[in-house]
Amino acid sequence: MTRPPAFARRLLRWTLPDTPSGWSIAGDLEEEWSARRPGPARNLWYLAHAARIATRYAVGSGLGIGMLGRDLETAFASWRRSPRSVLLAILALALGVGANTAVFSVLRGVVLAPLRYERPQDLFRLWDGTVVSKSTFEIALREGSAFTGIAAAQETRQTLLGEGRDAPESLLGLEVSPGHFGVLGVRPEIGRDFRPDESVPGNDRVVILSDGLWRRRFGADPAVLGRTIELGGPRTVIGVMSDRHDPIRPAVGYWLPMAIDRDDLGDYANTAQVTLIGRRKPGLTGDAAQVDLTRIARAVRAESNDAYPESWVREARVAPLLDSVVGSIGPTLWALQAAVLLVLLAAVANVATLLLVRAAGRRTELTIRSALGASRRRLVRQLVTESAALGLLGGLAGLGIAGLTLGTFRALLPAGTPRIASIALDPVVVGFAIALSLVAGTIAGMMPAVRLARDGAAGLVRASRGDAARPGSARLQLFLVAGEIAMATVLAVVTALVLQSGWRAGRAPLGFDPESVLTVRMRPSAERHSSDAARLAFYGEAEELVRGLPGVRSVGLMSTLPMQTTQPPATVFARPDEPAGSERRFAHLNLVFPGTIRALGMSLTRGRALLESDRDGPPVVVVNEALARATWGATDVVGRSLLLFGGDRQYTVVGVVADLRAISPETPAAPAFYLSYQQQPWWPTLALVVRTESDPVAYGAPIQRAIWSLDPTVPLEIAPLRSQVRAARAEPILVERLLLLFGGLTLLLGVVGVYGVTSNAVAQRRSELGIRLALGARAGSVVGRELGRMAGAAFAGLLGGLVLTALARRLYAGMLYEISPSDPATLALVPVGLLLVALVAASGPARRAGRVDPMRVLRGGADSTG
Amino acid sequence: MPTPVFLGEFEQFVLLAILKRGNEPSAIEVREEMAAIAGREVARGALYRTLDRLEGKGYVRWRIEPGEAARAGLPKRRFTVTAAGVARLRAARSALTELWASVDGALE
Repeated sequence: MTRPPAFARRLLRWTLPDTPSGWSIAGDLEEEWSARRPGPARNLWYLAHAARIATRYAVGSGLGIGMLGRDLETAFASWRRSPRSVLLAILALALGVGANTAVFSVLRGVVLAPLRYERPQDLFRLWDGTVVSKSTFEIALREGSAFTGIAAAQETRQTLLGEGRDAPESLLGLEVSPGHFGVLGVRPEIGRDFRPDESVPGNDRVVILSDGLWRRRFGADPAVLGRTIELGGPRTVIGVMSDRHDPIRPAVGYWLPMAIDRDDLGDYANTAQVTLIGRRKPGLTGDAAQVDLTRIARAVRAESNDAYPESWVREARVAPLLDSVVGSIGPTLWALQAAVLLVLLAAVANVATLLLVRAAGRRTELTIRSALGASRRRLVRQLVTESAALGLLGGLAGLGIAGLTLGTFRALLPAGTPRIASIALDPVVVGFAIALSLVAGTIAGMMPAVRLARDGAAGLVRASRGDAARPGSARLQLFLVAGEIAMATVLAVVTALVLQSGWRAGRAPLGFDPESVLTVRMRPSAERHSSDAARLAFYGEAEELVRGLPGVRSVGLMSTLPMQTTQPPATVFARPDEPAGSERRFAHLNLVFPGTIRALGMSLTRGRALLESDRDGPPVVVVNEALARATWGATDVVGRSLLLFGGDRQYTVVGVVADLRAISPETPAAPAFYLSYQQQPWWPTLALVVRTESDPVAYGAPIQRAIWSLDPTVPLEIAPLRSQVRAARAEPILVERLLLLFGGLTLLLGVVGVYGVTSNAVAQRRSELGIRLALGARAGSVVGRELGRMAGAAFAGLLGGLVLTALARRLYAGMLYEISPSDPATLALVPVGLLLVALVAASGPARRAGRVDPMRVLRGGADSTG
Repeated sequence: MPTPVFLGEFEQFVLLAILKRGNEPSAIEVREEMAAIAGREVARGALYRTLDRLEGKGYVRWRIEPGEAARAGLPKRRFTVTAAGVARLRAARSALTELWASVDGALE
């Protein structure tokens, strides 16, 4: 015999009570179904009615919407009666959820969202954290067995010549090996990928544009395909890449084929320059990729006749491409997310206190409802529904806050942050916010609900009043306040450490003086200035012209400006007396004009600076103290010699300069040497360093006019050195600002909590206080007692906070510059400061305790306290 | 004096339908009767919940009858209105009648 659809019957079985009456309801429907004409229509009929009965019963048993609706109506009605505390609770939750959502949207967009490529989990960076030579790439291509493909990429910068009114523009791009897009699993949106033969020098005059550059400079015109544009020389546009993929470097404007000159291969350690990525074969583990890379590295070492030390093989690591793309901002954002979670916890503790007090204020309502037959469970559910709804409202307001502040937040991120475009309030982020707010609201409402469940309405009253007869209840609110103070302690200590670190970094010995210095990066095109001599002449004339401008004190030219070094030292040098096969030494290389050391305000500690006369003399070098110490163990090294670039030409040290921080103010100087550009004019681009008499920004226009009078096609990047020092600290500055904000919010919540709990305690116990005062207690001792209670809670919170801070040490220790994560002064002073703040917040209400008028209390009775 | 528990309109309707049908009707028959009186279908869920509630208040009683094949062997309930139910219906009727009488003038 046929039966109604099985899942509809099951639905009824689940929702109807498992009793004869429940069975009979299912039987009735079954009977009616049997009486209907067979066919799909009656099954549909059964389905529809089973669903309706099921809904009705689910609602009736409290699972469903009808009862929820009634709970919510009750909630709204009770909120209308005391809108102030409800608004306060919503505000606290909105701040907590909003801040968390904003940080999470950044964390998700930048760090968590998978790379927008096919099977992104199979993409790896080879030799993570370092670059390798093209020869190494060739060997990896040949030897790699765990990868379906390996590709090389190298940053490049080319000048796009303007058409019409557009000024020449220097743009960042990537030179990539032919397999690059294939390994990533993407294809140009329009046009085609590079062909293997386009990596042959001379055959490489083609370009694939990014979607952004295509729209900005070519009006999104598909006819750009096949056109020749001037991008570091003429190049044919063969494709446009969609912006639906994440470039492996931020802000890439175009891709060029990487020309690999067969003659250049065979050079190993000295010309490290390319980044390798690989796609792991499906089904293999990360370990297999690592084993394969180690094998490749060993092959490279053997083939290069041990040009690399054994440590180079050991240190060759694969890492998920995502980690490599995200870079250092990843841990920073995680730490910020952890910090902002504390704000939410403090908000939850705050709201919990508010709800506890409110629930006690509603004891009459709850008692009446329970007398009318509402079960305890029913009332508990009412409270939980209310607080979850409160959480949701707070969450929605928080989403609003996050939406409004997201733009500001994005602007705060360091300029080089990857994947900024994917930061958005997408469904995942909105889901996070809603889940977070429901959980936060429910937890905040848990305390009163648990009280109610355990002790009934009377328990609530005791919990809120902090009844002396029931110390367990009295401690509940103080416990919550202690929690808030603990959160505030963690954030205050970490913020204090980070701010001190920032203050010290701001005063770090940079090794140069960034005030009143304008820098101008010039990128003359290879066509107009094709030879080294032509470039040298151009730079010489530019320096001459700028030096002649009024208000210019001194001028220098250098290849790498301070704060613009992005990589660890990579230029090889050696002491002539070292045996072959010694550990290789690496330093930062800088090619400079003679006036540079003075214009930058560097200090020469030994010997002399580079001179015009060195141009035609023997090879000379100026080294920094770090290099001198690392190489000879002393700084008095004038007259000694160095071998550079792995060659056998000896460079004589003529001077020693104080260390200059090349990467960021926090990063201690690495070994560095300075060569005369006039002796070595092969570097393609130099930057002017112009020390001025007044605000350097004002000199931008005259300097631009002067340089463009020599060659109007040279793109210029003009920036005050001071702002570059700031930009190098963008990440720590982001952390400082956000921690200040989060710390401030938490402190505010803590103060409100302390104040609220103290006033509530005083108000609830007004009659007791009145009687004690009437019986001769001194006002001072009453006030002192109230303050003492609060001080106890604050002290417990401070201790808890310090323990938490110690546990979280790993999250923030790496951000600190020249200050220990357990700096004794900070760990001692911050808690003392917080204790004082807590006592000040409590002192107002506590003084009110001492001013209770015994007569009024005795006349008005205990219930006048409200 | 105990708090009077009022009968809802729908509850009265269900009790009256059971009485009118007579002969210990099943829920299906009660529903048919209600449809005949009101001239429209009554939601099954609402009827079952109301029957549960009336049973809880002691106004309705039921007995179980084994299910036939058409019910897949599931039991059937047959309903009767209890004496208390009848008394409650009477009280509701007289209360309403009095109320109506007192406002008749206003409704003229």
